[in-house]
Amino acid sequence: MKIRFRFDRGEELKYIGHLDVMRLFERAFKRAEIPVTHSQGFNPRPHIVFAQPMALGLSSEGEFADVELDEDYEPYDFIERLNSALPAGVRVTDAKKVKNGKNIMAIVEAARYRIDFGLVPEKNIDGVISEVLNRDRIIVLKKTKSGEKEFDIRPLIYELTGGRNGGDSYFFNVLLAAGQENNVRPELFITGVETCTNSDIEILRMHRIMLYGRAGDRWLPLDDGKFL
Amino acid sequence: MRIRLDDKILMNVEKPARYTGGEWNMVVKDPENVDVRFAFCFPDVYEVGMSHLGMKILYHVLNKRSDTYCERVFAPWADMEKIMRERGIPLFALETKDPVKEFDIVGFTLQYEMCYTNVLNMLDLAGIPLLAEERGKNHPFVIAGGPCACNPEPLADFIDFFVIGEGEEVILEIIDAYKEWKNSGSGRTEFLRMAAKIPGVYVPSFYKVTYNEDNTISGIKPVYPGIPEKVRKRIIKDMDAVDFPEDIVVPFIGTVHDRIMLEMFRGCIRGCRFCQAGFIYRPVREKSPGVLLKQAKGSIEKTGYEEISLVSLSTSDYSCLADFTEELLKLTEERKINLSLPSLRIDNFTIDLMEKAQKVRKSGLTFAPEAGTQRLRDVINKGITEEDMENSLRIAFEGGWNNVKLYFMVGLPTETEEDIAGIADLAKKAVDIYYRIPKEKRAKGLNVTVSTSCFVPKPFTPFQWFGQNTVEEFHKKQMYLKDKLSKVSRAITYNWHDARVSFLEAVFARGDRRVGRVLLRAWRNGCRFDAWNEFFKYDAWMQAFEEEGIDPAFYANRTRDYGEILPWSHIDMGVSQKFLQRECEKAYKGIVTPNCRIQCTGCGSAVFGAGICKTVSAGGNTP
Repeated sequence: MKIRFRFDRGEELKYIGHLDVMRLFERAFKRAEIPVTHSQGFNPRPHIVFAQPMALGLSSEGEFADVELDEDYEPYDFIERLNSALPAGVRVTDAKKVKNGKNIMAIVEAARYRIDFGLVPEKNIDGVISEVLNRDRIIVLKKTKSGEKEFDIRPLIYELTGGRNGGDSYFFNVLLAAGQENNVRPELFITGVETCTNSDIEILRMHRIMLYGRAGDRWLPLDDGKFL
Repeated sequence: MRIRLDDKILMNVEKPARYTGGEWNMVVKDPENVDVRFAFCFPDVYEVGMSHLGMKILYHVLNKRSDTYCERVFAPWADMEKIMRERGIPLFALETKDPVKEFDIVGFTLQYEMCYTNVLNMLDLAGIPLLAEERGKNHPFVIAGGPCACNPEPLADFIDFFVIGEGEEVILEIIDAYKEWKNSGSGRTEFLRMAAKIPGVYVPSFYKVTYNEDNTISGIKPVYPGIPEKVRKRIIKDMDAVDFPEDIVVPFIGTVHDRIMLEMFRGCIRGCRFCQAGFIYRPVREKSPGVLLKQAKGSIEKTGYEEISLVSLSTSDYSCLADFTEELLKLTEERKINLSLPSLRIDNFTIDLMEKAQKVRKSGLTFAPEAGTQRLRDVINKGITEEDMENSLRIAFEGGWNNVKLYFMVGLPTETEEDIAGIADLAKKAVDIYYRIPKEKRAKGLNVTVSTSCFVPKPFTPFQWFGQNTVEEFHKKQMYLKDKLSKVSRAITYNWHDARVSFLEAVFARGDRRVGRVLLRAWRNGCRFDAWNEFFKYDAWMQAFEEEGIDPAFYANRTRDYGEILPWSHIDMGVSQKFLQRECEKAYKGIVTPNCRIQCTGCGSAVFGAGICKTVSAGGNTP
């Protein structure tokens, strides 16, 4: 059977990379004695697929993964067992059975982030937001396998709001393209904002709120019934 | 004071998870509720330290006590050290992030000589005076153990006391004594006096070393009555009864050995004359298969690791290897766990075992003939013949391996040009054996890697008196071999070690108290992480020797007389001076010594009355 589970990763665990997250879950499944189906052949691999890699430094409350199991589990039981084997800082918050065969990585099309940052004193947050949204194009340099490439991220910024945290810190709530087709990492978005506003922005914290798939003209979270 | 590490620090260093802790099975205690806080320091980076079994064992043994909290401390990498120094962040422990300076006991494990400057650097980062004599009432006690502590003298000025031998039992006695001392309210020296009474504890400040005019040692004597003339190492007599951690800390980031390490036995029956481990861990003491299986099962359940590796100095020498591995394989196959079997002699049985154990990509097999000719292999008592080598290689190639590594040493006692040429001959033999196998039966693309290290004479080995080759001699030999090998086959790759590192290793392996000054100076000259190529600063080291007026060749390249008082002569590792001398003489004559199971050679370790010394009929002390 296949289970789609949602998990979050707190501050204490955000300093590890995607491969480390994968390994962490593989070992947690072993400790929890939840039998994950393995691939056949020479080098059997556990069937766990993560919706979207997690960059080092990113905390989150909206991560998803699919796992194929040799036995049937009730989602409630699954959550309990897995959480008992996970270290502090990562926690499974929901689990649902999946019938749909579609690869979870192919469903992801957008991600919502909260980015906390310090702004140069003379800038005003509303002005910054309208400056970004009023642009037709925002060209940034993106690193690719063959060097750096110019890249227009404006069409990939789907929503943008923001405000002041108090003190000298501000936040964006931004919906960015994510997934296999187009992917804008929060750092790249901030580079875009810097380009638009001709300023230096200090990122204080990056947090992923949710991953979405598209259903018609609506964004739905990955564990929505439409995708299961 | 708890250290706060935020994004501004952690997002600017390589592998920030080195500094954040919180791993699965990390021990969490309230420091307020313990009597003794112990900082276990590994003088290298996290990934190296977390791969070390000894640290895992002692972390567990100490934390089993409710009155003690043992935390882990590693050397920060250069990027982190820079930030720490800029911001005045002191060295902290991973569990609580509390400064190391606030702990009661700060313990270092000494696994290799080239970590000594890291010990100094960590003390400095902690804000603890480097010199033991400068520490006062409010400073922790700095202690050290591990294999390098068998010659503690180079670090004698920096360490309050050393633990000689295996730590599981003695560390608990030290904690007990510490608690008693803490309650008594007496002075720092009083605790050292109490510690010195514990067998296996060596307090360097209680010994006076005197020197002859030629710079050799004239005496090492205790300065107070009641301090032992010789400190004998501690061993664990019953390996089945001693605590072994099943719930080891599982790191988030990849480490050098990121797997369960199942310790099968301590010691080695072989007695290869260059190998310090083969002498200082005597006698051989095995764990019984039942205990091992239980520990394997427990470790698998408590860690979730996907791999388990057998740990010993020579896996093939385990008494019931066949039965044991059969049972272990049942356990691992069912749970989809890889079993890795290092230190195996290659024969049909072990090839079969390796194939069953791990779905290995048949790429790497390692052989360690150590020397190129049978004559020299007899000198070092390696105990393998040309025929063994040929058979192993043939079996490996027939088994589908096409990538073999051959490890050798250059600069061994009595070595001649012929012996170096022998390395090339052996490599050629490997190539020939491969091509003699019918094409359809062998894997395509042969790759033979020849690696040579530079021989470092170590204390408590039969070669402890031997003058190491000079850096120039090593270099000449490496180039000679490189030239020879290049003419053999294009399938051969040759790697060699930096002789300058081995030269320093030799100085600090056999150094006396005076080389401590060089360590201090070298550290001040910017030396740290000397075991890492990118940090090794040979010139800074040479400058340090010069500034301190100490000749490194006196320690590395000089051959000692049997009669000379060696810097470690007050340390008793069980093997007797007489035995080592006898072995040295036999080496020069090319006479091999049988292994401990065939015949007791009267090395002296029988004094411990443990393991193989109890079971093999003793040949007494006759040669």
